[in-house]
Amino acid sequence: MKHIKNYVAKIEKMLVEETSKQSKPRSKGLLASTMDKDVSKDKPNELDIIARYVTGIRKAKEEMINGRK
Amino acid sequence: MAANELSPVDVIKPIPAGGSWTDAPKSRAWQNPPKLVNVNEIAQQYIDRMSTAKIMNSTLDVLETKVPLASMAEAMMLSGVASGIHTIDAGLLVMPVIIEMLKTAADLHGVEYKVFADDGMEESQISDRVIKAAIKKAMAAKEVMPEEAEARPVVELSGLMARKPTKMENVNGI
Repeated sequence: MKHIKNYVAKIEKMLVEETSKQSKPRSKGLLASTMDKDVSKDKPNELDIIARYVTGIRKAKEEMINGRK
Repeated sequence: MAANELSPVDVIKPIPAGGSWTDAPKSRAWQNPPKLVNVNEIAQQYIDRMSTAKIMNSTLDVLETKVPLASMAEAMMLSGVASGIHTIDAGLLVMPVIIEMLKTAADLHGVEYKVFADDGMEESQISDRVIKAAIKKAMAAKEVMPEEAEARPVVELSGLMARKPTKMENVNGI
C-alpha cells in the first residue's frame, strides 16, 4: 500500500507541475528558441495518460457539482 | 474405518504433486494472455464499469463502511486480474484512476472517506522512542516498588480486638 501511496503522490505532483507550468509566463532567455519549439512525443508515457485521466475525472466532477448548484 | 471417523490430519492432506496438471491447459484466466494490454483501454474500461448505476450503488454501500478507497481500488483491480482482463502491472498503473473515480462517487453522494488506511494517523501516532522511554520508566518504577514496601513502617495495632503480633520486632518496627 505504501508503494501505491507513493505512486498516487507522484501523479499528484505531476498534475501540480502541469498546472504551474501553464500559469508561468515564458521568459525570453537564451533557451527561448528551444522552448518555443514544439516537441512531439512518439509514444506518450503511461504516467501522462493516467494523469490526463485523473484530470478529466476531476473536471467532470467539478462540472457535475457546479451544474447542481 | 468410516469416513466420519477420520481425523482432521487425514482429511486435510497436501495437494499431490502435479495436481495443477489435472485441469485442461489454459482453462484458467491467468494461464491466458490478458484481454486488455493498453493502459488507455484499461482505464476506460474501469471508468465505464464504475459509471453504471449497479456498480455505483454497491460501491457507495461499501464506502459507507469506512473502507479506505485505496484498499477498495486494490480489490477491484485484483478482481480484474483474476478474471483475466489485464495484468497486475497494468492494473497497478491504473490504480489512481480507480481511486479518483471512488473519490468522485463519494464526494458527489456526500459520503465521508479516507484514501489510505493510515491517513490522519501521523499526527496521533506516538513515536517508538517515546514508547520505549515510557516502558523503561515504568520498569524502573516497578523495580523500586518492593524496596519501598520493605521500608514501609509497621503500623502498631491497638485496641482490644486487634490481632496479637507474632514477634515483638514487628511491633516495634525494628
